Amino acid sequence: MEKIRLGLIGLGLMGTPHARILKKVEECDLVAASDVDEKQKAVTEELGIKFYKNYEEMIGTENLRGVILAVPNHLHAPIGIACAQKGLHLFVEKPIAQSVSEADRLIEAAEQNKVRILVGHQRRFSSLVEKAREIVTGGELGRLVGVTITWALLKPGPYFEGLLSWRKEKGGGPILINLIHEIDNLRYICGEIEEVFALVSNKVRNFPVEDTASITLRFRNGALGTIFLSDCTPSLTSWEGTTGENPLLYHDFGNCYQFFGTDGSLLFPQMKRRYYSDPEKVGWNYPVTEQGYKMVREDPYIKEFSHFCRVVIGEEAPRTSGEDGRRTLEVTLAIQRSGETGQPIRL
Amino acid sequence: MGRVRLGLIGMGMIGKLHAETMSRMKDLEFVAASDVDAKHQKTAEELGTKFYQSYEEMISKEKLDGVVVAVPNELHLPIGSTCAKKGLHLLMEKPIAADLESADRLIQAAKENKVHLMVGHHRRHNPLIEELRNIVRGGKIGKLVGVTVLWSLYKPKDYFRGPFAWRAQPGGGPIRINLIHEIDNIRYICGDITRLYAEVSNEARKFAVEDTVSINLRLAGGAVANIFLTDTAPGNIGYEANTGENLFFYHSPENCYIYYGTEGVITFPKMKKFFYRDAAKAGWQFPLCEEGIKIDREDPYTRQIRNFCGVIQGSETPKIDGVDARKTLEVTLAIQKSGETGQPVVF
Ligand SMILES: NC(=O)c1ccc[n+]([C@@H]2O[C@H](COP(=O)([O-])OP(=O)(O)OC[C@H]3O[C@@H](n4cnc5c(N)ncnc54)[C@H](O)[C@@H]3O)[C@@H](O)[C@H]2O)c1
Ligand SMILES: NC(=O)c1ccc[n+]([C@@H]2O[C@H](COP(=O)([O-])OP(=O)(O)OC[C@H]3O[C@@H](n4cnc5c(N)ncnc54)[C@H](O)[C@@H]3O)[C@@H](O)[C@H]2O)c1
Repeated sequence: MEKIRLGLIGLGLMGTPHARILKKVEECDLVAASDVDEKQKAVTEELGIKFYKNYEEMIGTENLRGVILAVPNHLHAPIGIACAQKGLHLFVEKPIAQSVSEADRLIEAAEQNKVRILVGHQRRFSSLVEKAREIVTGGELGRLVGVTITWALLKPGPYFEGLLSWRKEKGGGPILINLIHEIDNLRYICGEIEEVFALVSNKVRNFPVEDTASITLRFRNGALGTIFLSDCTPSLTSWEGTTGENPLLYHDFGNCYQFFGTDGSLLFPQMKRRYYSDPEKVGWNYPVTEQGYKMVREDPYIKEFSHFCRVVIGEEAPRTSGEDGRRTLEVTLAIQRSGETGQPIRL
Repeated sequence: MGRVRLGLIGMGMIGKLHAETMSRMKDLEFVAASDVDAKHQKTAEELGTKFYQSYEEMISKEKLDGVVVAVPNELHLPIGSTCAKKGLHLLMEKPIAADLESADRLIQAAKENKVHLMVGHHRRHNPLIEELRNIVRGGKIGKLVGVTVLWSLYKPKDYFRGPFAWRAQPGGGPIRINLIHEIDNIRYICGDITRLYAEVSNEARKFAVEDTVSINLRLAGGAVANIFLTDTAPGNIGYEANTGENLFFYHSPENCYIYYGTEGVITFPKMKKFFYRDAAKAGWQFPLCEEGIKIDREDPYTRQIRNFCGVIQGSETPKIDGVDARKTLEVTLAIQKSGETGQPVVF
């Protein structure tokens, strides 16, 4: 396969590691990157790719097939639309856009210009999530009745300081920044969410943004979801604290999700399935049998970008399409709104 | 005052346990027991106590200080108030009564006849729960942030068959029967519940009664709590199975509650405290410290009867009186209602 020429826009916290990883992806050739901030030029020199201060210049001259967008959320739609109009396929960091209506505009522009969108929900490429999805959708747990999710950890003081003080404000908190990943995982593993409710609190930090939430979800297939979310408690019971996916954060070997079905339950990410192995001995007075799954460790980002290349050439349909990214955003925003109104929201 | 003289009404599943407990206790006199079903005479004889088929005969013939009432819920009010009129102190099995109006009338009857009314939410007498309460209320995990409660115990098919067919009907399910204990624990440990929401499902068993519930609670101090409950998934997670309090349930050493505070997290019933020792190294990139909490185990049913004796002798106050138990019933019924109406309930 001929290497696909890609460019990257936005060399910040996320874009910089993306640039490094893209250089390792065989299917593509990252030829250029752009950032309005000249300071980010250093990494392009290190990687031997061209730097543009102006992304429009980059997409006008580089003869690219696709771009990776890692710019702030409010620029996803405008920059994405400009790239789509040039016929470039889009990898858009999560969330797809700042609002559902902007997501709609971006999706429409992609359709009109016949380009595909892949949204950067990289956890869908985690081998743990892939396996959990296979177990749940393959019926190994029987009929899914529910799932519990805990995302409880302590964000340290400096997380909110200096240039990062926007994280104290509405929208900068755990629902829009962190929970959106859990929601996308759940939608991918368990199916569509059709109703949400949230009790939200900021009583610990007393910032305008929430620090804790208790959430209920109803899935279209009838299963229920329960989420506890908090960023102000000394805990490792979270995706970050249990999967070890993020090398900057400490992790232990606990579980952050548990899936419950009529024939079994699944502890995640320990990947242990519990069930009654003897049909004569089923019920609360009998022990459960525990079965493990052998897992391989893979870098989700490399898998994600390889997949993007195959999406660009039309070999694969995007694992997280624009519609999918939009729905994940819609559900997450509905949770935020339910917390504000105190009412359940049907989607 | 000499040894407290007690009688028992109802010798079914839980009544039998009370009978055994009272017969073992030296500091009281287990004078007599009654059940409409004559087959229980044998148990009474074995335990060395008198047996009556009519409880009215028992309470008029025997000189008693108090009675333990362990009859079906609809009989709590009539039998409880008859005993109160005889001046007998009451230990009523939970729930206090079948509905709130009956609870009010029973509370009134006890008041008018100047007898104590205590309710059998026996978990309050478990040293594990008492210690958890002391930890939370004593500020040992800082300010309470949130609580997660998991109850996933699989009810076998026989549980719903023959004389137990009522358990498949509305009111016979896990909210009224099992969840009420979780609500009482949360109220005892954390304080009042101010707002709640519940999603309820019967999709797995398709019985008229619920099989799965997801609940969000707001607590008076500002913390939130989640409860996920299902009786149709193999999980072996739940207070009964995890504490080993009742060995009818398979004893699996798991945690069913996690209490999250700003300074520490407690897992229950393993009773481990997690925290950051060094404030300069507190946050998601650092490992947590773990500390065990020493607890002396003691049978909660024995302690409950002992508390009842102390109340009768005037040396103790009831761990849970009628008004308190009514509140637990009120919250439990509100969960049922929220599930039906799809609306949150505010207290
Ligand atoms: N998938 C994940 O887990 C994950 C994690 C973090 C961030 N993100 C997403 O990645 C995106 C970027 O976040 P970040 O944390 O890297 O932010 P950041 O602020 O660190 O980086 C954004 C970069 O974009 C540059 N930029 C701004 N306007 C530009 C323009 N017109 N042209 C070119 N460059 C421009 C900025 O100079 C900055 O370097 C966001 O959408 C965020 O939600 C995703
Ligand atoms: N604290 C707990 O954990 C717990 C556990 C189980 C039951 N309970 C409560 O205990 C009560 C009894 O439940 P159970 O499971 O033991 O029920 P059960 O049906 O096993 O026992 C009830 C007994 O009461 C007897 N009875 C009925 N009418 C009577 C009367 N007029 N006089 C004397 N006896 C009479 C019945 O014959 C039966 O033996 C209920 O209120 C229930 O909610 C509490």
